[in-house]
Amino acid sequence: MSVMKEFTKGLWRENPVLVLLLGMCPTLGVTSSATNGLGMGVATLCVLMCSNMVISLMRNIVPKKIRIPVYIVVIATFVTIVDMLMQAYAPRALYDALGLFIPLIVVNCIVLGRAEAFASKNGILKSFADGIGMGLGFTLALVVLGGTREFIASGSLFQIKMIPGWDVDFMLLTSAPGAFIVLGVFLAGMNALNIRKAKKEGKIYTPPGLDCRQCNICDMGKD
Amino acid sequence: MSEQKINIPKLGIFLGVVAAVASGLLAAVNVQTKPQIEKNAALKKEEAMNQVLPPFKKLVSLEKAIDGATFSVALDENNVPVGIAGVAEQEGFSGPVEVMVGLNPDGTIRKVLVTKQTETPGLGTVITDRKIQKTINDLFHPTELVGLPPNQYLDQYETATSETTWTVTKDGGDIDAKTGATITSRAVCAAVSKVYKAYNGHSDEILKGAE
Repeated sequence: MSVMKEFTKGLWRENPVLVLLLGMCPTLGVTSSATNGLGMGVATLCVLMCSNMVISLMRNIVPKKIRIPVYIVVIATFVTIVDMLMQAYAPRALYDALGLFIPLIVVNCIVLGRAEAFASKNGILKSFADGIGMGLGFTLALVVLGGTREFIASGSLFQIKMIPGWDVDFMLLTSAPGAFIVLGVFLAGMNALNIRKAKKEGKIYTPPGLDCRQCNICDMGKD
Repeated sequence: MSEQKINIPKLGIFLGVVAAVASGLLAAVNVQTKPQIEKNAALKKEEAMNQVLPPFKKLVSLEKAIDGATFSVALDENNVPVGIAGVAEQEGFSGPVEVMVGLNPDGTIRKVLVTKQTETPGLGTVITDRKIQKTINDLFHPTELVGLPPNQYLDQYETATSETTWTVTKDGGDIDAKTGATITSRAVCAAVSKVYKAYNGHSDEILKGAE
């Protein structure tokens, strides 16, 4: 049951983009269209799943002092493997669209963040579920953000024009400022929803996971 | 701070072992995927060639670049040249723009294709991309498209003659540029003109090199 819980938390309650605010760089960079968002999300999902499992397996033998470099080596290895496999076997259109973003996964906070905050403290099954859940939550958020931007900018979704005759693109939404605007609106909406829900139950809403669980950098010097 | 003894050699060795295992894994995957990746790259180039050239039997690539453009000559079964593909590069707004120009043996332009670019999506890419705009109606009534999708900014080069002034209209030339994407327009124009001028200046040399 708790494995199931680790899986579902990434989708909504602790959504990496909209609640934990992890991985903002790829989020803002690639969500100019729904297709790009989906591709980046799936690529991250694969890496996150593999890295979470391996790091969970290694959690008891990695000396604490060098755990971060070890995680980075593991993550970079998986990213490179995914890159090479996609270059060789994925449909070319997909690689053409995503090739640029794959190396960016290495520096994606979600992957390192989940390794440090979750996989290094939990068993392999839970870490696997956490990886899939967080990856799917990330994908979901990117597709929704990308779809919104694409639709408002050009009236299309997944590169298919939904409104025929919409010829001139609204460039603001596909360029970088549009990413910030749409993300801001979504974050506000997400907070409003959660605050309202908490109010109904007579509680005060506190965002989950925005504490030291997400980042253990202050503990770096300790053993 | 507690005075703890850190076993540096042990940590170093551990990190080294992890890195060694990782590199071993990468080497294995690289060996496995390399032939396929090279095949894909060759296929991509061949596909672009097929799009800008008429049907041909044999393709001879010239190794030496002429005035910044590299050429491949397409021959039919009697070893008569039917078309020439020229590739040239020019710095665009955010990186090099590479064009492949299909030429007829008489030096006129057959088709222009941008094979590499990193221009601004929605501005520069309007100039460089030949893309079919699918609409929701196409999902229900699919239509078959023959040949390359049109792009008015790339198709205009097909009517170029020796009298064409190879600069964009803003600079006093004959080439239409898109407002807001002048730099990309200039880059595509310069790259195409490089190929056009190199072929028309050295056509004998190029065709002889293919024999």
